[in-house]
Amino acid sequence: MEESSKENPFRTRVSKQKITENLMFGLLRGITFFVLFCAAYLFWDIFSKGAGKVFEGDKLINWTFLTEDPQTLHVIDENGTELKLSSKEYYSLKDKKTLEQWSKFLKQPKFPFYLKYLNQSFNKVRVEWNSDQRKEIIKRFVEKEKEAASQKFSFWRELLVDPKATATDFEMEPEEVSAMVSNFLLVHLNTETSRLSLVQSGIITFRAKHYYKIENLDLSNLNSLHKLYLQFLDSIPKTFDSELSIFGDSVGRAYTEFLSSKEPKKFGQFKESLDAYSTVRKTIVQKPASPDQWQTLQKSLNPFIQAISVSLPSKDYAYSGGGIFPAIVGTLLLVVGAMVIAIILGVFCAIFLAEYGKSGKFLSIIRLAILNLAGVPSIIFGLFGFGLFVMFLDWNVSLLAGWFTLAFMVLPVVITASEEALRSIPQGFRESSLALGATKWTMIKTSVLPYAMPGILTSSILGVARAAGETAPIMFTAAYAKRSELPWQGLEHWTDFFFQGVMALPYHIYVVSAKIPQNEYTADMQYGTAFVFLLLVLSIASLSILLRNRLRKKYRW
Amino acid sequence: MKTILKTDSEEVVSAKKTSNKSPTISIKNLDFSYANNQVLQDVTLDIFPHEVMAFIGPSGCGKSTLLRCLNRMNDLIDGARIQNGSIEIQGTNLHDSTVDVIELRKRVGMVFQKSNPFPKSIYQNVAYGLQIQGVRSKNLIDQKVEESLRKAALWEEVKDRLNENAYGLSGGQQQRLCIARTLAVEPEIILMDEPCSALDPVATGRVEELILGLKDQYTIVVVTHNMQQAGRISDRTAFFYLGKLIECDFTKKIFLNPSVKQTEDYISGKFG
Repeated sequence: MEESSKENPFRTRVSKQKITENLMFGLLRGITFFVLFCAAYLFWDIFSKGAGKVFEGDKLINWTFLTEDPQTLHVIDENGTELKLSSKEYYSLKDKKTLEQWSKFLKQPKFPFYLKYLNQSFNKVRVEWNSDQRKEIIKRFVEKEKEAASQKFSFWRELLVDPKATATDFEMEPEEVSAMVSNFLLVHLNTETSRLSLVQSGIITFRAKHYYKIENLDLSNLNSLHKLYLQFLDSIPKTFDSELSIFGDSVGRAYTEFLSSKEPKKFGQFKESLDAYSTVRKTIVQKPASPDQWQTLQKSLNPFIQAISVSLPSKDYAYSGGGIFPAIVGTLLLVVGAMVIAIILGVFCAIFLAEYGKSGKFLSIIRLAILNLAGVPSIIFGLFGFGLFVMFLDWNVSLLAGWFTLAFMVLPVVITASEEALRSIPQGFRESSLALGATKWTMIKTSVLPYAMPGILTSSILGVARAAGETAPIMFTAAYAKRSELPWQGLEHWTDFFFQGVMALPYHIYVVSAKIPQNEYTADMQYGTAFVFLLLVLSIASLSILLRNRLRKKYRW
Repeated sequence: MKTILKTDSEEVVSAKKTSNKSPTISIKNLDFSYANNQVLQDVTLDIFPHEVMAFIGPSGCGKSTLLRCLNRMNDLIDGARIQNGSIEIQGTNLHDSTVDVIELRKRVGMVFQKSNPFPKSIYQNVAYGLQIQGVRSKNLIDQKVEESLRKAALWEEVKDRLNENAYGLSGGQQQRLCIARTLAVEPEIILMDEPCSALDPVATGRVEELILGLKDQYTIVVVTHNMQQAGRISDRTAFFYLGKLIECDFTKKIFLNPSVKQTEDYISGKFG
């Protein structure tokens, strides 16, 4: 009590100022930490999720991801165990032609999966038509199933009859397929490869050229094709018995219905032929067949195996397999080209503005215009590039158009910063150069530009990151969603190099994330791409920083 | 035109009196302005071969402007123009449309107030003037570099480190390097704009010695704030005040017995 009565002039007091002081300190610190936290989270998120795609498991670096082109991922799901195949692997699996190859293949660990799947139904079936075929199909369809189908498939009919509809790609549920199949079953002989295969009514086709194209299908010859199929069925030994059906319930039922309605006698043969395969499977898996057995089997079953080999069922995820090599190459090309153009144009403009331009209203209007240009959204640059380079100059979607569009986008930054850099060179260098008898251009070339180069490069580092990162400007001008060929492949003339579209990392991220339903596989791809993208920008930027530092060391005053 | 008259400075001094020598630079009734600001008014002045002419006067009196007129460095400044009068060097009007500014600047070299060597090696600094004129011969350039550095009394100090950055030199050495750089292009007239203002007394002394040594071969015009310096190095001195040439005479006379009151006031430190 004694002490408190003694006034301590430096005693801590709670005052308004003190509160404000503490509040502001806390606020500023809080905001800074929040920003840091967000940035750290962003990097942590991409690195933690993306690094796994590049540095995968036991292999130190996942070269497939870095060196292959994007492919569809075929996921074969077996009781919770997944077999993930990129398109390349998937098709190589399906292209096993002879029984020997099969027999080799069957001993591989992956095969039990495969066999099992042959016993399952299609989960999803891709459908393609052209408009004539659509009309034909719908005509027959309507004829056959007037009452039931007209209700059930009114949606399809609308779509099919509409001549304007150009959508060629739908996913159908198995029930729908079976109903369609029951009406339009036929046998299709692919004359190119002499492969006899089952194609349900010509509706069920697969997308790539590896599959049967609807164009090859002659609907007027359905009957003869059907005969061929029946011959094929006859050629299969009828001594096997089993309950299994390779096409699974829904499609198998469809066959059953169709065959029983049209050719009741043949149905048993068909079923037996299906059963034959299950026996083959048993034979192969359980005990290796003797060479004689193999030969017999091959003779009788080779066409059949080929027929079913097209129907390896899988869930497909576009862009989720393979790698991103074309996108890495494309981004590098775009950035380097755009920066070269931007720096050349920008430095020349800056030289004019800083060295030749007389200060006046005109020049300040130009400067204002350039500054405003920096604020234009990148999508506007995309449209500008599309209008000028792609359409008007008729460069199409090409590297060249992308280069110029990106260059114009980063130009304002490059010009403004280059001008700053030029102005920061001491006037003395200019004067003494001129006093020694240099012309204006010699002066600029020898005693201004070299010393301004570090500054110009600093500005271009910002440009690099922006040019590499923007999606919108290249979306209409240079980027392809998918292109397997690399830029130097398949050129007829060297100038073609400049007039081809390329894949690019930012656009790839956009395509992968925006155009298809999200799932774990595509997310994986997205983060992997983002990770590689960050590394790429980081390395380009550090290269320019290194170059700048070297120049700075060389010219110091 | 290019004849350099061989005379001792003492003779020049006496020659001026008789006025039988033709002046190297002759300025007649010069009016000069930056935009709307008239800087020089009615300046008439002759500068003779192989003399050191000093311009003195308070800041803003136009002495630097006049110096920069002599090799047309003012062309770089927006709105700078000559309103009246003329400058002739060896009988040619500098502002004649047929005059090649580049050629003029080669013949009329300039050393600036702030030593401003290029951020290159010492060798490259001196060779610069030759290189931009298209001299490719390495031998010739080597020879010129040595010669110029010797003339600038810098050779002994830098001969072992010609390839080092010029900014490693001391201030006085840098200024002498700038002089060497100017000498390398073989001018006839050297303009110096306060060459010693940023230097310490020792370095100043060396540059002054250098100027005195160079006057045998070159006509030198020096702008200086330092009146003692003008007294030490110049043969004649011109005093400017508010854009006007107040008085121009032999240095001794200006310092000991100026004919105009303003000059006397300035020199004795009453103003400025």
